[in-house]
Amino acid sequence: MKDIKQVIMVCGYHYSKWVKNKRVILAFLLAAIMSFLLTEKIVNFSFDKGTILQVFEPFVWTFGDRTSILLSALILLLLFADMPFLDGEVPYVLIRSKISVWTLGQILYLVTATFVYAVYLVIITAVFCAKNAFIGNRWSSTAALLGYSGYSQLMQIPAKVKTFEITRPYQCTVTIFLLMLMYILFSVLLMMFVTIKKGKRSGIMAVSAFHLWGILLNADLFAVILKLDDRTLYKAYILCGWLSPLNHVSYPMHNFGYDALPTMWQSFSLFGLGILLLILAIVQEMKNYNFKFIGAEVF
Amino acid sequence: MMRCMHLIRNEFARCLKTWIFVLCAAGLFLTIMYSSAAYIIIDTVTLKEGLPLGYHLEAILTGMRSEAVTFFLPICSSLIYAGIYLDERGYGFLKAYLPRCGRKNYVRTKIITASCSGGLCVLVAMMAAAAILTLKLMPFETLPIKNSTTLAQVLLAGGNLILEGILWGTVGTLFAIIYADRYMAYGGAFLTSNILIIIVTRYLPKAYILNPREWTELAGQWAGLKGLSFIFLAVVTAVIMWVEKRVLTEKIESIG
Repeated sequence: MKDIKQVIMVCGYHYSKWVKNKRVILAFLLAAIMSFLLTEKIVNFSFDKGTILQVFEPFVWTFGDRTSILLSALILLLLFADMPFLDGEVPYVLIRSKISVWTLGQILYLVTATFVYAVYLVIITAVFCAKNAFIGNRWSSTAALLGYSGYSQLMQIPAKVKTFEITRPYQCTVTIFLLMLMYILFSVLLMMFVTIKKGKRSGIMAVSAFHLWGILLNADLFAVILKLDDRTLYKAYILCGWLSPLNHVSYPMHNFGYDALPTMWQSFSLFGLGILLLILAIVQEMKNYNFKFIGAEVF
Repeated sequence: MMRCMHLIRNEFARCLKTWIFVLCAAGLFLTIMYSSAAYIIIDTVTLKEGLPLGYHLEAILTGMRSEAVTFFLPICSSLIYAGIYLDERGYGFLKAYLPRCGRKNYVRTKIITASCSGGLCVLVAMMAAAAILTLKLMPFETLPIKNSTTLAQVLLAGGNLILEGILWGTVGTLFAIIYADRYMAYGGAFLTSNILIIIVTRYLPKAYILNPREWTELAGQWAGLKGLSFIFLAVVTAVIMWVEKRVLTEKIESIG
């Protein structure tokens, strides 16, 4: 019980550093700007056509796409730039508790901060589009126009008919939110693990490599480079759907009953397992971490 | 006066002879060229038939008015010299420098250099892009049809873009002085630009004069005279420079 209380206190201490922290303010403002720029096309389209939006539709179409999730994950590099959060308070915390407690406090901070960030993205996207939106749990006339005409391909908005047919906006929003959260959390914990093991520069390189792996494993890219025929292209889509982490979090790139792509539960399970393993690895690695005390600073 | 000019010359040499300035100017140049790509990549059939007169002006204008330029301009303008006050204060350079150059001269040189670095970066990038586009496209303008884009439009958009560069250089430096933080120094201008775009586009469409996109697109009325946009930008920049002068004078009061 005492350990749990200390874990929460360590987490709370990190949140206390958010107050008037320019880096945190900048990260959240950049996320808002990114959200605005990514949803601008959709909102302008609805204004031009005189149609209305469901309040979470821009979030669904924007963050159901792999590139947008990647951009939102990159902004978190700014938020967690001071990982693994070793400051002058650390020696005092370590004397009063255990390394595992302090590490779990850090991990709790990372998990909850990522959750707060993801919720913020949902809310800010909805706020930007609220002027021309309704809150009912049904797809809008804008969605119908995009899905059933050629506009979605013309404007490169991933509004797919199969999405409209199998789910509703709120359910879809929750699914995409969880997918995005898992991807971002996995990348953040990966960065933490490699930073502890090999240093800050290696941590950033590792997470960049992870994102690069996801973005490069793109069947369309292979089709252009290797000039694939339709049959081989289909196999490439399935393979990339399984191997690319960004495809796992892209809503349309899932099995809705008629292809061999991963299902939602398979994606959730893979990410969940990866996150759990990373947490265990971080706790284990922290036990062997070589703290260097130089005056009041810890390196 | 002579001493101040000498100090300004030294500051400009310090600012312009850096890799950052070259990279920012090159980045902006590439952004303008990329945005005009549709005008450069022309099939041979169209080239043989000829292009309308003034086609190169349209290419230059499209490049300058693009979303990408509006996006990168605040970053490029403030990256060059916005953080210089923080460096000088942090290294203790100011304590030795201020008694030698004087507080008033220091404030003047800092404001002028930080602001003009942004404008010069835009000027260099724009001139390079305009030169290349003109050399590439003008020889093919053989059709008797005249393009709707005029030189006056290009000059006005170019002038506004240079003023915008000066404005964001000033804003970045102001953020650096007020917040004493590198993130705000380099990100402040970008944040201000995009927050203005968001507020005007979504919530206050009638306040188009505050929209950075409008300063080059000039889609609004501007009371029937588009040149008013240039005057508006000049006035806003002058006001922010005056605010910066007041703030910087106050901040360096306690040093030395």
